[in-house]
Amino acid sequence: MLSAVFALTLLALTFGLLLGFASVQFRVEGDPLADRLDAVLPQTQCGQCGFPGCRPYAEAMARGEADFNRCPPGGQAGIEALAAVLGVEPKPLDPENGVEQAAMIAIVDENVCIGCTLCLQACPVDAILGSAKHMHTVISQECTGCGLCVAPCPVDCITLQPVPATLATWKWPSPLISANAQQEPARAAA
Amino acid sequence: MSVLNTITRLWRFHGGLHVPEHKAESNSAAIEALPLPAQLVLPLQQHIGAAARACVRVGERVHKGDALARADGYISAALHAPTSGTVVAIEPRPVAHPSGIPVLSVVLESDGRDEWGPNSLPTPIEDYLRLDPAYLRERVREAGIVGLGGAAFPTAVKLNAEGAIRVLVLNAAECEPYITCDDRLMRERAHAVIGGLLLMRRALGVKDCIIGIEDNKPEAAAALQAALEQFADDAEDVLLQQIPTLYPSGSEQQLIRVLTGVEIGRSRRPVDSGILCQNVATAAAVHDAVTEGRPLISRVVTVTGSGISTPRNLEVLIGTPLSALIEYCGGYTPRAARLIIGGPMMGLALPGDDLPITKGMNCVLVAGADDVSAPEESMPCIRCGECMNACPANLLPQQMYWHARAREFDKAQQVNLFDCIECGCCAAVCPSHLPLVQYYRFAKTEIWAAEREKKKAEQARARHEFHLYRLEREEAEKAARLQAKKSAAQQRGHEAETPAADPKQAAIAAALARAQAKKAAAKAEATAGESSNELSPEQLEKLAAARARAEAKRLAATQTAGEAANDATAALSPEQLEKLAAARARAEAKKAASAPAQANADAAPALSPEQLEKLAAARARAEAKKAASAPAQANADAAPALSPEQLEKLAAARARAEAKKAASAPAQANADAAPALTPEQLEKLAAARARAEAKKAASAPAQANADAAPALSPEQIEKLTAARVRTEAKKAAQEALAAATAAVAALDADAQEEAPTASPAAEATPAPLTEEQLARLAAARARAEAKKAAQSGKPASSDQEQ
Amino acid sequence: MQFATTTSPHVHLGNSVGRVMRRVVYALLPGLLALVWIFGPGVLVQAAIAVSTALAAEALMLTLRGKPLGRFLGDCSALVTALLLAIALPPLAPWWITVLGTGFAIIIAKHLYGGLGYNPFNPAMIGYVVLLTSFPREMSSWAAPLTLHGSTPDLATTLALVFGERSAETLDAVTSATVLDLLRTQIGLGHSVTEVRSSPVFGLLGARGWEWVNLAFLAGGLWMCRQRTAAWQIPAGMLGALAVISTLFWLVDAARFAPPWFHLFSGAAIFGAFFIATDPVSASTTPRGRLIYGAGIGVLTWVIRSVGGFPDGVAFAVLLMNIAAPTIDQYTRPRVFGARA
Ligand code: SF4
Ligand code: SF4
Ligand code: SF4
Repeated sequence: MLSAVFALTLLALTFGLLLGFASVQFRVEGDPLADRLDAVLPQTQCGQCGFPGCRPYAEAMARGEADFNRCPPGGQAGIEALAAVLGVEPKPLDPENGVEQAAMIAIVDENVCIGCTLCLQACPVDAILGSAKHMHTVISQECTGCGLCVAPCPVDCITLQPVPATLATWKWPSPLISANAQQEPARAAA
Repeated sequence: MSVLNTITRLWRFHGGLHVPEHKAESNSAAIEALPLPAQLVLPLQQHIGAAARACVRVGERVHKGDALARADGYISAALHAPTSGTVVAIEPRPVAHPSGIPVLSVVLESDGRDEWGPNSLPTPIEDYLRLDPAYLRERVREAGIVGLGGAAFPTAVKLNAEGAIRVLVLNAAECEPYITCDDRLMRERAHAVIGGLLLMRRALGVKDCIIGIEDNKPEAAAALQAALEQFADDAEDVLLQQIPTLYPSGSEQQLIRVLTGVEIGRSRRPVDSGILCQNVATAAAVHDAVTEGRPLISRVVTVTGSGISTPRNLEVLIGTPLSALIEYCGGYTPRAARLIIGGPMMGLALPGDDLPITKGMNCVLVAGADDVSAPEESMPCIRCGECMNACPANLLPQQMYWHARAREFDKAQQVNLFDCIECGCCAAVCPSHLPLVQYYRFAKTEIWAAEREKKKAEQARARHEFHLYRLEREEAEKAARLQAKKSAAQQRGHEAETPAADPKQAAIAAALARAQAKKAAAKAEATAGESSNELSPEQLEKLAAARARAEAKRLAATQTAGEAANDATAALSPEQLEKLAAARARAEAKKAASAPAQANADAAPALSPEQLEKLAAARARAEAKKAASAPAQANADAAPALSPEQLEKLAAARARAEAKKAASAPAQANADAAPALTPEQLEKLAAARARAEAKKAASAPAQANADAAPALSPEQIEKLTAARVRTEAKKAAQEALAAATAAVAALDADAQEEAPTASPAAEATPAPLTEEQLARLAAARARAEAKKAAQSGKPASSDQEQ
Repeated sequence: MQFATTTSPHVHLGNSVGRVMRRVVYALLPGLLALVWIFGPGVLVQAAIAVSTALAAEALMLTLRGKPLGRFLGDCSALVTALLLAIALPPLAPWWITVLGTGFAIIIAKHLYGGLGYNPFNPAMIGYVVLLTSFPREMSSWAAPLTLHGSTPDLATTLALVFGERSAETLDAVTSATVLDLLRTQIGLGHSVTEVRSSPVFGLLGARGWEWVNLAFLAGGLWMCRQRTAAWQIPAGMLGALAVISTLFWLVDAARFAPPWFHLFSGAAIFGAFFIATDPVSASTTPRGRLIYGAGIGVLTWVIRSVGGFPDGVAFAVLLMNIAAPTIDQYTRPRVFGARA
């Protein structure tokens, strides 16, 4: 009887020590929550979430001050990713922040541009190239399509256009979607 | 000992299918040449890798065999005129791709003469088996040869693996049902096939070759054997090996497995195993390219299926419309139900026949309704495992399907989605008729898109962080500048009070005026003329702007930079105005007519008026390019296939020349505005500009030409980044001085213009992070540390200058 | 001319769910005939009841779920479920037992889990187990085999028993306990296996009469494996494991444990190995996984038969291994082509 109690106690102690050692030794140094949230935000820096960029929004979420369904560029997939980081159930995008839409890119109409540099100052990622009084243009690879440059333009020469698909970026549709119109989609495309 | 001696048996791969072969329909039809079509459409992207760069202009006459487009980058392939005629358009045209997205194509109208040009053929080589391997590879590269088995990977790139290869495998399996073009080619041109094989063997420096041919083509095998005997000693160590007919033994990985027992998966490229695989048609094309100097301008295509009146094998010029092939074969039968490019297992179904033949197309299959499976309603997967039994890659297609369907792409990747070769075996046996292969393609493209997005988000994050850091720094600099201004004002007394209180405001107001002016250009000019008598700063501003624009357009119309420098110094006089108007007209005319090449476009730095004007000139040219949407222009300079570095050097050299000119231009009032710029500095700015412009050109889809090449390479982007940082650093250093000088020169009209320009211009230059700075920023986001990082980062980046 | 665009491959070798299921039905025929010969027409009556119930339930559920009736009824999967259950039931079981079991199998075990392809458990076995646990008495009175009585109940008697009043006397006259039942109770009473086996209900290999039925099922099953309608790994694994484990224990203590041939040829071992365990939807799907899955069923069957509370363990063993199937799949992925071993 006594030996059994003793053995069990010993076992418990050993495993307890082992576990404690392991938790100290092998602890996964996780990024702070804000970093992990920021990592799944689309970095469009558009401010539609109500914060001046993705990072502040991530920080607000990490502090628990903002809901995680406020980023339209991320869309439902983004919300699901955020929910996964936060360990909660996903929910639909808050329509107050905007609607999910296809990726956009800003295009400066270079014939109208007066070179005022206002758009340039608005761009959160410095993707607009130009100098005073000279045509500005958008570096398309770096434009996030945030749309912040559209409003400041005094001559309304900036428009947001959907990113054109190329052979390299084209995606096969899911058969689940095309199943509804079995033969139709490709015909329509042709 | 030869590796061949160790090959004592054939191997098996898992799965595979016996699909009804349907070879008999067309394998007795000898190869016929298709009559010359009236028009050819040659997409610039017919191969894996970067699209070729057009090197002809609309309206240009070309001979048969002339280069139409050059390889753009290492993995790319040139394109040649399949016949003589006129280039009538270079524009996006639909190609055989599931997306239906049009691709930039050269449209060639045949003149019916089909004549080779004096320079289109390099000298034929008689004793071709003794050639220098490097020369051989060059010849193959120039001929624009790509893998003709379907994948269309540039052959020259594959042949560059010299030294790494032990065994060269010639793929003569042709395992897809219906297709017989390789079969016919081997029967009729076995000598060329073997010759090409020996050439490639020489280019690669290997000894051992195995030809793998399915045992359902005995005639072709016999022809190859006979050709081997003809070559006698030259064809030593070539093993002709018949293999059992089993789909997909013609897939590179499976063929190598069957012949050598080596498994080449995703983790191991063929070269890593020392085995390289080439298709028979490719071999024949290599032979023709070397012995006749004939570039790849035609290929053999099988036209077959019960939907076509007379199945045939045709020698077809690249770019021929499918409809011409169909017509030649007697047109569709009433049974025609599906038009497939390639075979029934992996081919692509097309909606119509108004598309061109490209290099990778081996078969046009017009299937009757009962030859192909109807797009049947699928049932749920019953996990029967048939797909797994059939999969030659030994995958679990069913699990990949469940994950792809549920959009669990990471899990799909875990079950090795990317090892799938899309052979279609799984879907062909699935009792539930699931479109399995489409699920895999869908999942693959989704995963790639997600990766692209992730990369882009990371880039955006870095740029945004730098943006914030820059704003902060500029805030600090502004304070410093104000300080400097104040002290300058104190030194110079009351003179300093005259300049516009807020240059920026004035600039914006002026800019607005200019926008209106654009809508009535003549009126704007008149205004400018009148204004020249008055000295109100605002009007001077407008005036200067108008002049800059006019000059810019004029520059666009003139060809030499020297002239430009002289013109730029001219004062504003009535005659001058007239001249400008004339110049503008010329510029407009040029725009419409697609201006000729001015690759020095890119060399316009930002600070001095001359340079500003040159920038504007660049813009004018950019507009011209767009207006014409013709890729021809800049190619005039870039034609001799410049490498990105060469292009960059070229741009830098031009910039240098211009900078010198600018520096030696007669001194005038506005020279004060940029007093501190040494020629080298100007040069560097110019280089930065050049790169920026190149980049921009790359982003304009209509200009898939010379400029695009350097812009796309990552090093280029990095260099651009570095250049921008340098530019910024320099500007910042000079800004205080510039501002002070501007204040002094307040009464000088030209300086008046320059003062407001200077500060926005500084802000205007986007400055993304160098890698070093990125690292620093990541390490410490705090403002103080970021500043520190910038301070040490600046010298570091200037050290990098050449 | 405009053509339809579909993705490759454009040919299909003609397999279909309906064909797979019909092959299972064909493979069941020899066993079914043997059952009729040995035990009388009861099994046909049960099959008729089960099939009509199943089709009705399937049609009802498909309509409720808004699925196309023709396509899904034509796949014959409900037919297979119904036949499997009918064969598993005692031939003289009252009709409501069959209706209840089949209805439960189709409506709950199949459709409420998502229908064809989505059910994690074998529906027929769920139906069987529900009946076995709810109505143990009805479920354990089997018709006596021909070889024991010299005659089998005729159709009239069968129909009367199935649909009419069931008096204990008539029932006793035509039924007998199954051998596995007998073995269990007798061993429980302290008799040795050899003693028990001298009872007339035992035949040469297993239960009297059952040998023939099992041989017929074996023939059908082997044909099905040859046709690749069923994965050979599952029956091989199951029968192999059953043989191995029963041999081991029999060698250790022949008095307490039945010999391997007895285990293989009585009860539902063969029928289960070829027809129940191979139901693809709920089984493991990788080649090695199927061997393990089959072996698991074999071992569990033996364990339940020898030490468990129910006479035959196949149904429970299959259901238990259904739970394990996804996990087995996860750890038995085949080596991908080109991957380093
Ligand atoms: S809404 Fe815009 S700024 Fe806010 S997190 Fe999304 S992308 Fe970033
Ligand atoms: S063949 Fe079709 S039904 Fe069978 S497991 Fe594969 S995907 Fe599922
Ligand atoms: S398409 Fe992919 S998964 Fe299907 S059989 Fe071929 S390799 Fe295997």
